[in-house]
Amino acid sequence: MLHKKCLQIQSVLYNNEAPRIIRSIKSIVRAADFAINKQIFTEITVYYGDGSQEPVFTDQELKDLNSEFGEYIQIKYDYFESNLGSARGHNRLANHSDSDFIMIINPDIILAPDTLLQLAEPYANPKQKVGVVEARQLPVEHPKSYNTRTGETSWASTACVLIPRLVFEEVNGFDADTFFLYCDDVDFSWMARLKGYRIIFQPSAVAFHDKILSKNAAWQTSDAEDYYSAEAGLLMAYKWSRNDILENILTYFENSDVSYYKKAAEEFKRRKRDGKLPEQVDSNHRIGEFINNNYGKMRFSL
Amino acid sequence: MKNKSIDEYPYKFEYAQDNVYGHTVSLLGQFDLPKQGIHLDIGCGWGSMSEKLMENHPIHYIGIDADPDAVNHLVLEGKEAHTYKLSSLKDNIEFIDKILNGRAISSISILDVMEHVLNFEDLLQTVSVLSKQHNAPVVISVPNFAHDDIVFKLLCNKFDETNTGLLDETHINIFTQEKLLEVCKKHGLHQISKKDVVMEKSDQYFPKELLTLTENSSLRQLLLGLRKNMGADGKVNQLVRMFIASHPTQIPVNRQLARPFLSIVTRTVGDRPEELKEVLLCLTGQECTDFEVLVVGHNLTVEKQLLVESIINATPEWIRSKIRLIRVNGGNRSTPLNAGFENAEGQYMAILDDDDIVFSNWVEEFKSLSNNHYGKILKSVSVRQEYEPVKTSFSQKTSIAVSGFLNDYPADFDFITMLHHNECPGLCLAFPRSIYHDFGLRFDETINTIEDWDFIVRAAFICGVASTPTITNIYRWWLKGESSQSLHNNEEWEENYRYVQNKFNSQYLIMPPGNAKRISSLINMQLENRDSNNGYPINDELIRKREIAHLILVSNSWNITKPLRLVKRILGKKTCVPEIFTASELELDEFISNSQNSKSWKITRVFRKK
Repeated sequence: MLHKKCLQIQSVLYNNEAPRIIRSIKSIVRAADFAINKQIFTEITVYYGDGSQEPVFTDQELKDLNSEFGEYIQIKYDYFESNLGSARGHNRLANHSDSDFIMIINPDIILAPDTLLQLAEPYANPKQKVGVVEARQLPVEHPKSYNTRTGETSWASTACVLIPRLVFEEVNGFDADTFFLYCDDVDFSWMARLKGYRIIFQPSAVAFHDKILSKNAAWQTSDAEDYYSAEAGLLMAYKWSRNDILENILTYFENSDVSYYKKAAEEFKRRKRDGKLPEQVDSNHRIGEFINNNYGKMRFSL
Repeated sequence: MKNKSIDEYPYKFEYAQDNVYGHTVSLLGQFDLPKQGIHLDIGCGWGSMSEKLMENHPIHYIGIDADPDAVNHLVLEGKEAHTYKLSSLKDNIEFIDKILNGRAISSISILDVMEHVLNFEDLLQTVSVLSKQHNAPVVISVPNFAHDDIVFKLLCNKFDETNTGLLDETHINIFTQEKLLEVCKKHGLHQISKKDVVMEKSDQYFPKELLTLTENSSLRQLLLGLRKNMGADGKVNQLVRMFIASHPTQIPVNRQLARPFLSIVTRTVGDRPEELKEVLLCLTGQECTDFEVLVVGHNLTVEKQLLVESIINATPEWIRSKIRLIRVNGGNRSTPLNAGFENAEGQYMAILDDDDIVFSNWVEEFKSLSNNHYGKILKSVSVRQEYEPVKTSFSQKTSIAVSGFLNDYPADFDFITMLHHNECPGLCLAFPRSIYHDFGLRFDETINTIEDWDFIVRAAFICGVASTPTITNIYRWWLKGESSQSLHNNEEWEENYRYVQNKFNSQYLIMPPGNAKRISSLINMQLENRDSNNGYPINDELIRKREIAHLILVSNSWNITKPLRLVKRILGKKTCVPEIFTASELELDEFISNSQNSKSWKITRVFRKK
């Protein structure tokens, strides 16, 4: 069991609606109550970094929130004044404290009462060398594969993960110079695995992460997700030394009629010209898994 | 003014065992009334039951009536009777106290009086005070305005007042069971027993040619079918109820305003704690929070009850305050649904089992649909997702999704197809409360499978259905582990299927607009099919084969052998699955024969548990 540990739960806001964040806070409060009661954590801070054009919370609103929920958690707020993206935003928030653990969540995530307890479970034995523990999302379960005996998986989605600060710092946080919105979590997971840590998917730690399906039961993506996923795909292939895959994607993007594919290919070439590409790693392809346009095996497609 | 003779008096009814007087005597017969105790008969008329009551009990009878002729008649018979016109509570009590002169009341009756009295609530207050003061039971009878004959005539704009009877022209108050009980409770009179007078055909059964009255018309049969579960009221001529006074019951001023939009009924036997936790988490994430949750614990042991309670108590305070645990023992899968719906306060009621998953728009879509379709069953769309149990070295026993979203369920509610098989998982529907609480529809507790299909279809033809194509929920389909699919054998499914279909077939159904053409097109298909079958007519044999093919397609064996068919398909050998409604007899024969002769069907025989 873990004892007397401090936790910072952090989330990067971008024009989110305050009522949804408050609903998330209420679930965090309940989960914090259980985690503190069980002495998994002794002190829990929730830190919001806000990259919105206008602050989501006023000083008075934050004061009110702290007054309402201060018995269980401390709520802190950093207005970024610009959209830093998720990777840089989380690095900045992580630097605000020296908590033993960092938990990264999406702003609208709702925790089950025992989510913190379940996420902490794999850290009970330090010999397991666990680097990241990921919660199971509801209602749409992530389709990536995991070992159903050990829980080991290729990478962890930062919609809801628990990371020891030591691991976060050893990996130097997220690669914010390379990734703006997407794949920063895949890259972080693989960097942790390069250092010998295991990435664990914990199916009994559940978190409600709202998604709406299209009328034909398809996954719906935003324009930003489409573009930054495409851009990140090129950068991942490059960074993880898969030049063969990179060439295929680049050729496909350049010959595509899809505007964001073309834009992503142009951005990649610009970075290459400007010498802004990351250092290549995993030259022997021990960690990086590029399978059927996914990062690792999938159990099914959405 | 000439005194009325007994023959001229309009309300001189003889005592009979099976009329209101006989029933009153029978009700009071439950008590060993004290010697010389007073029976106070308010509005006694000619005292039809006085003789029988005194014969059965050593009581002293006192009649009170506004008609001096009736009172004189009783006095001439040697009974105590007083002329008095009922008035305010104060005057009533003063008068009665005066005639009692210290004597104790043992019982009271007010038979067929309240419908004639201007201030009937003063009368009720009067008897309530007396009942409380003397610990005396009170028998009240009133004509039932909700008798089928009145209701069915009103439907045809007919309101025929008569000299006496259900629609006596001198009635100034009307009563139904609900009204009588409510007003009595308001004045502290609580029902302890009842013995209504039932009349299949009342004095209002005329004219006999009226379609709502004439026995063989479809309309009458449909109306009788709709009313039969509302309670026995439709055949009750006079409500005869016995009360005793205590504290008044508070009647909500306007319950409608306080009702949540949706009552969510979640049945659990306590063996899926992780999934129940997930259900409550999904509800915590709802955009619309205008709901209550009734977790119905079915046959819970003490350990499982504590487990379920701990899951509920762990939720954040705002949702915990919306959750009630109801424990039910005995019965089958229908029993907890009935218990949940019975206790539901919501305007609508939905079933969300302890392993279902809903998106944040589940309640919101129902509510939004209700804005334009209030009163109809509300339907959104379910997707199916296959799951298996999982337990890693760090986790508790929980679940893993093993398929994507299977878009198996249609967006629209097809009334015709629903008569054949269910294509609506329970969680995609919300039922208006009236279908259960007013129309008395219940989940059939004689069947242990397809109880939801049975309820949905019966309710749908009464309420109608409003649909949205929006997906709001995931119906978990367990490939391993326990589920209703695995717990019951094929024989039971088949038997229940036949039972439910017979039930649908035996009743009148209200078909909504648009279905005449749908039926017509089905007939067209059949005729075309007959032509393509070398002139063979559609016959019972074909229907039977369709049923067999359907049962194969919904069997455990078919489900279990799905991976084998997948492999077969990859190898280029596709299994031909016929479209049951349109397939020819030849195609059905081929499918049934291939399925039943296949190795996989034989190997999986054990799962069919025949």
